[in-house]
Amino acid sequence: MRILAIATNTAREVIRDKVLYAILIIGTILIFSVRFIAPMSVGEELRLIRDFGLSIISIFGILVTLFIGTRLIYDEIQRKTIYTIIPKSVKRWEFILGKYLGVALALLFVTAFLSLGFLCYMVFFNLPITLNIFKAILLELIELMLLSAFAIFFSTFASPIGSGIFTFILYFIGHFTRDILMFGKLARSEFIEFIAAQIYYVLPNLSYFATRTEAVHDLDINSYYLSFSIAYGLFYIVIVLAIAVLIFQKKDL
Amino acid sequence: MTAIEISNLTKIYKSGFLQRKTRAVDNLNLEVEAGEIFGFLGPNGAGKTTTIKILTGLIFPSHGKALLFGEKVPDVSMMRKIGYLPEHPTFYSHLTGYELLDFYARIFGLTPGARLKRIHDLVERVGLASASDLRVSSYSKGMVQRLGIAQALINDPDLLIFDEPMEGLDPIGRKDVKDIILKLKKNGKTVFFSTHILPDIEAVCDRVGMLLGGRLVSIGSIDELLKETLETLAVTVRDISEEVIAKIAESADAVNRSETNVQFIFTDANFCDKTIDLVRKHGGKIISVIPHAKTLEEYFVKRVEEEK
Repeated sequence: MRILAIATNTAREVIRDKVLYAILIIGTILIFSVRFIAPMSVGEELRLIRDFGLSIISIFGILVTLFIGTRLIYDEIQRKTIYTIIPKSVKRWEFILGKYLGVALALLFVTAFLSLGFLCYMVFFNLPITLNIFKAILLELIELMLLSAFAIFFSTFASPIGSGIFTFILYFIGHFTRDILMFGKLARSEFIEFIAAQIYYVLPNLSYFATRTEAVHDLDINSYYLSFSIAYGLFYIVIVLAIAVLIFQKKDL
Repeated sequence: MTAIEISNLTKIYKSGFLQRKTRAVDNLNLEVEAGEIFGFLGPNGAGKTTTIKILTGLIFPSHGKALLFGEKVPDVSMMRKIGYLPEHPTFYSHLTGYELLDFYARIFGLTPGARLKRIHDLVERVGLASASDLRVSSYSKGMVQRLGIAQALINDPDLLIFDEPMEGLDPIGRKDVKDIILKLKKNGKTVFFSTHILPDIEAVCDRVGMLLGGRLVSIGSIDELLKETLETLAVTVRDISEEVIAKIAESADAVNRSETNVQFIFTDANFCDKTIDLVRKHGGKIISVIPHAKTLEEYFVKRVEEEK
């Protein structure tokens, strides 16, 4: 009950933020602006439209994650709003989990809103909608949820700017962990190989969630891959939130 | 039953690159009985808020322990019996007063019906009934303080911990808060509050604890604390000769003269009686005899200066 109350309040706070509306409106306008770009790619219009639409959903989802996730815990402490919550018999892990679920709800709302805009465009111009598009959007949402877990983790000890930078670096490295491992092996330095291996094994491999190419080119995203990626994302989310709780548990507020 | 039991409580903050240590609370021992109104007094930086934050589980002590109703802080089941108003409270500005109280009530698992009734009662009690549908961002400082008191009472707690509850309130608001505190006591609740508005403490507190430099320097009822200090008596007379004035002045602590009257200040009541006799004997007139008890404020200032 306490977690639910905190989660719904957090989601409400995000959804009532005027900046979010600006992000959603700009995102939707951009999705529809593909109408003017598509004719330039002769014979590739459908792929371009899909690629463009899914990219907009991804970029704006990351923007919202960085904008909201990174300042959530920090703001609670700085503005002292947490002072009237923790003394109300709320355990610290409940607070972190409630805040996280609130962000996840808000991300679900953002992704659903932009996806709806994208699908409306497809329906309006009579373009085929495949199941793969939904699978790609679902994996995109899992990636955003994982990033927001990291954002909350960083915000338990860093400022919003610091958390934002860390989360963005993590997003960037996360998409290249396999390349970093390969680079380490080619570097011919034990130290670099060791560091590259640590990055590969500790940081999440976000390329598991990058299925836009498959969705665009109608390549199969099979159920096994989908289930594995979701389980992989959820596993990391639990681990990251558990570490965030451990830090927050001993923090003087 | 003991509502608050603090034993050897110490809080050391470390700050800066060199981890410089600051002792905010220093070996504090304190007990507050259930049903008491206890005033926690001290200048800025004395350690009042730090102590309160330990009691409410927001920060952790470096040494010692704090028990509320016999349970170690922050025992979650015990914390359900606590209501807390922080210093300079801030609330979610995206919510209305009603929505905010509803959020807190949901944390305590109140049913929708119970929430509605409780919030309605509370907004009436703190004088926010007409503003409960407004966003908290539009509230004045006094309204935020009233909302803070309402949220502290949302779970009908047995122990209220208020950090500077009169802060930002006008005289009417302060009277309302004092009335709320007295009503809480009448209903068997324990109230522990910090303030630097001393007349408020004198008006409502059963006992007072004074904190200076993180240490408890005085504790007791207002009467007990002020008993340590001397009363003064101001005797105002007229129509007496300079010779008599000089004779009385030898025993007086101070002499104030106006065009027609002479006022003698005594800390010893015996000299006052002798003065009255002497004035009458020499045909003078007694205008007034005014006993002047030292206020808590004067006591407070004296103790602060002593500590310095």
